[in-house]
Amino acid sequence: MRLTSRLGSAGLAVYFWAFVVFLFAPLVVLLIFSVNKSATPTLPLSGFSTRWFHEAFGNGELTGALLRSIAIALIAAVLSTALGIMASLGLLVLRGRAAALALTVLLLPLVVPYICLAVGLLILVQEVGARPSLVAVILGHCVIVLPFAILVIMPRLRSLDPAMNEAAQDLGASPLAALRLITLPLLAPALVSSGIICFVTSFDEFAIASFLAPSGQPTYPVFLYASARTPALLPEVIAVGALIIAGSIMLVVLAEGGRRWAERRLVGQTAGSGPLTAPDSEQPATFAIGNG
Amino acid sequence: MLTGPADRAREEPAARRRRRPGKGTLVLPPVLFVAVLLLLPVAFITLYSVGLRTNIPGVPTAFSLSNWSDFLTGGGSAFRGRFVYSMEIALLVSVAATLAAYPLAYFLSFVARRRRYALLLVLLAPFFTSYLLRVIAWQIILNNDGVVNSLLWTLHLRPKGSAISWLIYSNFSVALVLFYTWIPFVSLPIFVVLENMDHRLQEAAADLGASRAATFWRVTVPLSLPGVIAGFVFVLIPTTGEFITPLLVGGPNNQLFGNSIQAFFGDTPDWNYGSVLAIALIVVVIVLTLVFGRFLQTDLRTETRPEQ
Amino acid sequence: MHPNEPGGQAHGLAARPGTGQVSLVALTKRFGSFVAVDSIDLEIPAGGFFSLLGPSGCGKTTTLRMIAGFEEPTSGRVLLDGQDIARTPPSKRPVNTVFQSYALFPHLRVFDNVAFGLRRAGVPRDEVRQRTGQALELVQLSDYARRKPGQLSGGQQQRVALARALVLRPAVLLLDEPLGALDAKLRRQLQVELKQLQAQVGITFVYVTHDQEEALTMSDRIAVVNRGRIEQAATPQDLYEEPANAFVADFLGVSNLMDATVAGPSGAGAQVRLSDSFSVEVQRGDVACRGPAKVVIRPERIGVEPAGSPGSNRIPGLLTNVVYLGSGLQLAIQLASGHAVTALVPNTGEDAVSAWSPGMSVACYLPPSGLRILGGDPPAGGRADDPANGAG
Repeated sequence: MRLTSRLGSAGLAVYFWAFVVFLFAPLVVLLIFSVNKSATPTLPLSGFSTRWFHEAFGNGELTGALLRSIAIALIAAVLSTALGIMASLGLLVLRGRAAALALTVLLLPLVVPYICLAVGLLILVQEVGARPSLVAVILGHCVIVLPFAILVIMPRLRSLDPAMNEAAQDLGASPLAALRLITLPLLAPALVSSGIICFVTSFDEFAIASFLAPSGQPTYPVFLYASARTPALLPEVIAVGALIIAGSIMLVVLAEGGRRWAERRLVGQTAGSGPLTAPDSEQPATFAIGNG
Repeated sequence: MLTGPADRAREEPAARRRRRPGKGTLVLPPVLFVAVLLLLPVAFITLYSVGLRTNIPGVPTAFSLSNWSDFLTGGGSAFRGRFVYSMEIALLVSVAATLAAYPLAYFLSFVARRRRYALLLVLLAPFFTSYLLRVIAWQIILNNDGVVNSLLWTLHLRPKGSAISWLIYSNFSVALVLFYTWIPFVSLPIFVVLENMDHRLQEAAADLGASRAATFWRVTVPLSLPGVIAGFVFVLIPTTGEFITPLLVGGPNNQLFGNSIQAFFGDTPDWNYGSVLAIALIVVVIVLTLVFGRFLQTDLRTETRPEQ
Repeated sequence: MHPNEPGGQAHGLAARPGTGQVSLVALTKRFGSFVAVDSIDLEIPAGGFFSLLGPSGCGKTTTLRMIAGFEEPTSGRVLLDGQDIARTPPSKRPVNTVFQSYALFPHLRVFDNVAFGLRRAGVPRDEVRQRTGQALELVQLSDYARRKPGQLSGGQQQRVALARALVLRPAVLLLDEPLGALDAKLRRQLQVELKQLQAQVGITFVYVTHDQEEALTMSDRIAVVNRGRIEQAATPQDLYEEPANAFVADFLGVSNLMDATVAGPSGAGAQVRLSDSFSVEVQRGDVACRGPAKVVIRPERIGVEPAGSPGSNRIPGLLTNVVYLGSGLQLAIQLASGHAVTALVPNTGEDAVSAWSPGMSVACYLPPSGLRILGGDPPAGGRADDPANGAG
């Protein structure tokens, strides 16, 4: 007996695909109206035009905001990935209460609402006598994406055979060289994932940026929000938005494909199984035994 | 929570130790980073909420619970009301999203066996696009002259220019957009738990004569409950602090608690009162996290690697 | 591998003469309150195949790791050719390790794995290429130089690990149960090859295992480790034939340990009472002691004869179980003295095999030269590694 009847399976499939349509509908709407001639996103469509793209990229404020967000996201991604590596390496060694405490603190940003963190940072900036700045935005973004970096890097790190690090030292590498030559290259897929997640999250972050970006230097989400309430700017916003949406989807597909490719290349797999881990007694070597 | 092949070496007879890459002290920079940029701000917010610091120059700072009492008991009832309203919306959205996501996860795990990871990616892909853009897109769809209304006009189902009033700047629009945003995210933990379930259990139930419905309700659902609750909590916690969606698709009566906080730090700055609201929200979130904490256990054991 | 290699220098990987002697002096390792290695003294001669044998958790791997440098001793010294290396970091010791999991670097090709240590040492490129090639030739993997470890079988990976360690011409090579992950047949084949390899290069091998058969097959000398202490260190033959105590006797094969009482002298040996009705003459072991003691005899030394056979040192018994091993028969016998023993009878043909069946009465001949007295518990005469006991 199948777990779902034919009718049930068909029904579930319909439900699933209906939801997929529901989920993609707004994205498709953006794509459609980005090439719509009229300045108001309304039906019926008034014809094809790429004018909004031209106007968007001719808009200095918009491109400025875009570039600002890209720069901030890049820096935040690199910085938080580095911090994530440090945190993961440290957590690997720590035991018991110290480890639990450290992990709790490091994952706390996942729980605190962004609006609270944003106002908190605003207060902090004021208290130390500084002014809202893009540096503050970068730091704020680092805090919120650091947990993601750790959540991506740490499992990968834990799955590495610790004997490899010992072997590297046994063969004459200093602990630092072992880290550089063995551990980090093997972490590469996780580092890439971490970078992408951190970048995307930072790029789209609104709360902290809205409070900490100096006026006149908005990040892209801040600019977007302001423009969304200005009908005149809406079509440009939609045009760039469509590009970003298309880009994000492509990024997701590429990231997944790229990750799988990197895994295969990393260990030269022909059989498609996972990277080498320490074989324990329950797990005899799974490879075909050749002629030795 | 913290085990891997590396840690099996650690937990073996104490004689087995491995020289790991890195030292324990390496956690210090990141921990200090978070401490300064998260714990310290929260500490400051607390100070502001009890009047020990203020942003208004010239006002004396002294410990005072007046703002707190105002919020909790006194004339601050408008914000209390909004607080309750926000929790209601958050609960509504979370329940709806969890219920709607379950069949999606079930479909992926039990029906679409071979392509389930690819389809999961399809389901999750919109979640990886810009949140702000998605809300703006809904604004375009639900607007008074947006896609839905103008479609009805074009099809002559409604007189031109007459918009459905409850479509935007309403409870409906806020709830719908929040629901929309979180569906993919909720499916994930449910999918994971359904995947990890030993499907032979269902086979065993069938062997023992249970009907499909009975197998589902008495085997599958109870065993998948941890994932369901995890998904529910994954939505509930962020939604309580939500403020972007109401800004774009909500009317003046649909603003959420997060918007109130925002207002006190932006438009009409009263950082002391705003801090009270912020702390209240943080407390709620922490309570929720502690209560539902065990369902949020992240398995840092190994990376989930989808089969090729 | 080619043991009769013309030119005889084992591909330039031979041991430097006069190196590779290891001494452990009062070596101790504590983890909190748990004592993993309890003040052991051990001499590992240069150029031989030395095994540390013992059950899981006995401290043999910890000892190995202290020689390698992955654990710092709580106290005591690790001497390599006379120099104390206990505080030297592992990267600076002329000691290399083959790990249980091989620990090959999955992102590097086989060639780069083997060349890793050479490059770390700053060896010039041409020499790296030459020596790496030699090492790969030695383990017969020259054709696999460009592959990644993930594309190799378990046995091949083990060889790469070997080559990677040997190419550095260490004074001592440490092997931590390297054959554990392989199936039985491959393991036996590699045991032989490892032994031949060691003979070829002449480097001191220190091999950790819990498999007594493996240790007996490969080693020149074995140290039996139990609960952080050395029970006995000797050649395989001495360990098997002359175990110092019950633990060693029982760990290496079946010991047929029997509780008995040493009554008095008898000829060159002693008269031992197995029970009120049965006594035997024992010629080996601690024949001078008196009183309660343990007696051992190896299964292959027991003669199983039809019931009622005449002669001394014969005990009647009941055959309780017969196991067909292929190469012989394993007979479980309940002796009339109250002891249960296991005897091994070679398979000399159909008649020999079919002669025995459970339930038969038999007579067990325990030859005086096959019996050995171990003394009471703890082993009589003090610690087993006391030179006065014939160990070390």
